[in-house]
Amino acid sequence: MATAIRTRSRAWERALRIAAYLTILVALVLTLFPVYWIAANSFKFDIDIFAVPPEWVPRNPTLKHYDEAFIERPFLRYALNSFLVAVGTTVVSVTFGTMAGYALARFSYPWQWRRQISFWILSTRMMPPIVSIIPLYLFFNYFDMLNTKSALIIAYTAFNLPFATWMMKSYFQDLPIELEEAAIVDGDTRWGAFLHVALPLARPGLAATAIFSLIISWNEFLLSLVITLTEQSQTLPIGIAGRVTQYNTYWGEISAAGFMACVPIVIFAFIVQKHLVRGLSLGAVKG
Amino acid sequence: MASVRFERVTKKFGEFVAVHDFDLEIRDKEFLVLLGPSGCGKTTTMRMVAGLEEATSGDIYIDADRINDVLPKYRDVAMVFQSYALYPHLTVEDNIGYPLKIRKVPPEEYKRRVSEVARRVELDTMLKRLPKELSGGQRQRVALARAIVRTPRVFLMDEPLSNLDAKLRTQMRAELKHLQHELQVTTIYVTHDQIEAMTLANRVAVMNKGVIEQLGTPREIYNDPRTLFVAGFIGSPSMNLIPGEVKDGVFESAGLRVGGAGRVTIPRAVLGVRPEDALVTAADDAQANLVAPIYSVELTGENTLVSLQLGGRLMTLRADKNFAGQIDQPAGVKIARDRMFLFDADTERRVDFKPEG
Amino acid sequence: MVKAGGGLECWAERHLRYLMLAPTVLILLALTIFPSIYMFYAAVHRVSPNPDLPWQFVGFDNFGRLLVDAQFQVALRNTAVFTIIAVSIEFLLGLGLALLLDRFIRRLTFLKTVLMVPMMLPPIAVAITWKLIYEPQFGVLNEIMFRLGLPTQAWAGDVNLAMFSIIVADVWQWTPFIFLLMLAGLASLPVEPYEAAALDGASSWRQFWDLTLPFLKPVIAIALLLRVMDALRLFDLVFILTGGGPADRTKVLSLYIYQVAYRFADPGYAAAISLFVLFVTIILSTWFMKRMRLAE
Repeated sequence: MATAIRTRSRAWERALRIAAYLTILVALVLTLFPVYWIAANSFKFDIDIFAVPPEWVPRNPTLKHYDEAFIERPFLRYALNSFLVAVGTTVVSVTFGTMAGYALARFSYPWQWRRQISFWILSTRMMPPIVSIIPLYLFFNYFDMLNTKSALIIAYTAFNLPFATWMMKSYFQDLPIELEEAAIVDGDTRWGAFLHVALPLARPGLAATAIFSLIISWNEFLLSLVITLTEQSQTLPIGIAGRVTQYNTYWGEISAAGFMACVPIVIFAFIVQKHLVRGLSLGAVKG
Repeated sequence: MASVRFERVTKKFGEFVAVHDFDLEIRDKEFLVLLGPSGCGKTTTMRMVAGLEEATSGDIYIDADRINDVLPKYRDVAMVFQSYALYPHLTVEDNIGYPLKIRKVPPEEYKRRVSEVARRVELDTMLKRLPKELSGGQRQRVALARAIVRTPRVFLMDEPLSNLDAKLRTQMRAELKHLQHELQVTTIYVTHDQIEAMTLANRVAVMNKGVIEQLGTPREIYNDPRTLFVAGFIGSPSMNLIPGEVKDGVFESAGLRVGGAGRVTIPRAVLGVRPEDALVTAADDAQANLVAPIYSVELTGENTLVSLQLGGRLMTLRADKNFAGQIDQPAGVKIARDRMFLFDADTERRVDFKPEG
Repeated sequence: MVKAGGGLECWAERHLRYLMLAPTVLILLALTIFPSIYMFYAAVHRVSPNPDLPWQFVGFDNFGRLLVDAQFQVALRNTAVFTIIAVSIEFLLGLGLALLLDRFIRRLTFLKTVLMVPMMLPPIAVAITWKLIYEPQFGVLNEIMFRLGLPTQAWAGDVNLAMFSIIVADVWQWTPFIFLLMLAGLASLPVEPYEAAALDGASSWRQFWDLTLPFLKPVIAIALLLRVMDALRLFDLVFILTGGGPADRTKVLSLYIYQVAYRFADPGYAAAISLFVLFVTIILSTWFMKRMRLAE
């Protein structure tokens, strides 16, 4: 592309550059303002939240709503639940997803199974969660597992496992197969070659997959809404939604909890920035 | 120390037959080169010895042991890969020592053997480096060191020199030959480069389409090609193959007549002449077998390659470095009588031929 | 002498390809195929939410209700409208931004990541943030309208603006996704064809149509597939911002299924609608993936 534009006039080039930087600036403001706004409101007294015109910068910053949410109300409990469920889901999905991803990247199967199974696994990821909600609900109800974290982990795994499988498949496909063959000839087993050679080399991909899995589980709403009804089992998003009632919305509280829900995600986003493209496209586009 | 034997081995990938009904014995301490164009099955053959591919049918033996169903780790073979396949996350020392680590060799012996091998391939000062900090030639040496550190029964080498530049390749070739002579380990070496095959091998197996075309010493392969494929594949520039027909023992082609094939008649025949086995002379030389216009003249330094337009094709000959002919001028060709090969184009086999005159 | 290796080791080694795949396949079979069958079973029954009451077989009645249920048709239409409009805007905006900014933002990795933050955030947090912005009395949006001298609006509470409000929030969250994928696509374009085209005298407009677009096609297909599948399952934003109202203007399929199952306590009928949605997604995604040969 560069060549074509190079032939244009300098004035045009300069105009383009200014337009681009202006666009970036506008995009940044539009991206960051909502995040800033929820953070700003979480530090305001209720009366300042309702101020007209809005108070752009909190004049009397306070941690009152954090106190309300995390000390008086059980948001700390919700956050802990979210965390435990996310970790549990991630351990299960990444462990099995790594093995399956490796198998699909490396082995051949009779009757084009490799293609068929890859395809089928991907389609399970395309399935809308609402569709499996009813059977899962009835299933957990039958086994008396409603309101348990294990039920959430099982349900989330259904959606994270295909993701982890595809991600790891794409990372393993990037590794030269000769390294594992060399290990095998050097005296390792097939499994040993996976464990000693392929896995250490895929470590960055493994970390990225795990972080994406944590994010997906942490953000999940619908499944948790249906499966959990008690404080002891509900996750952070459900806790937040619970404070938006027909009669009243507890703005300060949900702003504080909502902002705290975003913080780890933003940190994670920066940790996996190199892997964002691959993670968000299920390994299909290599960024 | 071991011999390797293939008995009626066939390998199919789906419908594609990569290796077909293959018989070969590699003798103890022999350096055997599998030579052929890409896709001829040479690498597959070698990978079956390593256990990286399973034979579809037939038996493979190392000494008296049938190894078809033996896991690679118990076959005790070592392999050098075309891409070297060094473990990028391990240091040179750990790369070389990996086969020992897998076999749980005690630490003192591990240290001793790794440093001994590293010294042998002149890497003893680089043990702590990672592969990415090494040059191409050094990586090649690490790969070699990893193969020889545990003195396996068989060495397998899959085009180990093809990623090196030309100068380094010549040097490593010599080192490789010396090393194999020193270690006296049976070696199977795969390459598509005939110079490598000629210089390194005790015996060469020329492969094409999954079968051995000819098995013999480099000299036999060059001087006595049995098939049209071997004749055309070995030699650079390759042998000139002139199509024609044999009537009553006399080969005839446009502007060329040579007798000497007894009394046979072959409707589609090919006459083979190596570039160095004919002289380019003046167009009016009475002894010339044929006369043709010069198509191109290329000086290589040590001699001149002269191509002549012969019918619809080119005939390339090696002439003196001071050759002075011009493009489009006619030139005569005098073929050495005893250096002509005659092939039946239908069977692709060589035909007995004693040129007369 | 060659050792053949222990029986178990040898067996495990030979069947490794199946052993490594088995856990995932079994888990997914249990969590997807089983529910689908179970759901079909539920769909031909009248199911009471009380687990002690027996199910009553009703044949294909629940599927028949799909044809006459006006609310279902509204939800179907709303989902279609949302998906088409939101994904189109996100696509055009994302692609346009990527084309404009590609050369300038390529090295600004930090900035790029900042722009990607919205799509990572919990949808619930995004929903309450926009709820706060749309708030009719003290929301920021009405303040801006007021400053510009325009009439203030109820936004998510307005019959005509509710769907628009949902779309805006979705566009805010997901345009970065398209933008990111398009940037990745542009970064992987080869240089030579453009140099050749420039030498051949092709204008940049022609280069865009003849080179950039065809090169980007696979990435575009993946981005659209994932966005469409996500848009079809829209739930969180609607749940918080409008609850499906006002006057069912934002009632989408996911929300309707949820309401039928839990508010109207009719899991059998909800299962029938779910099967319909599943059917549509399978058709759509299969068509997409087959076309793109994604499984390779």
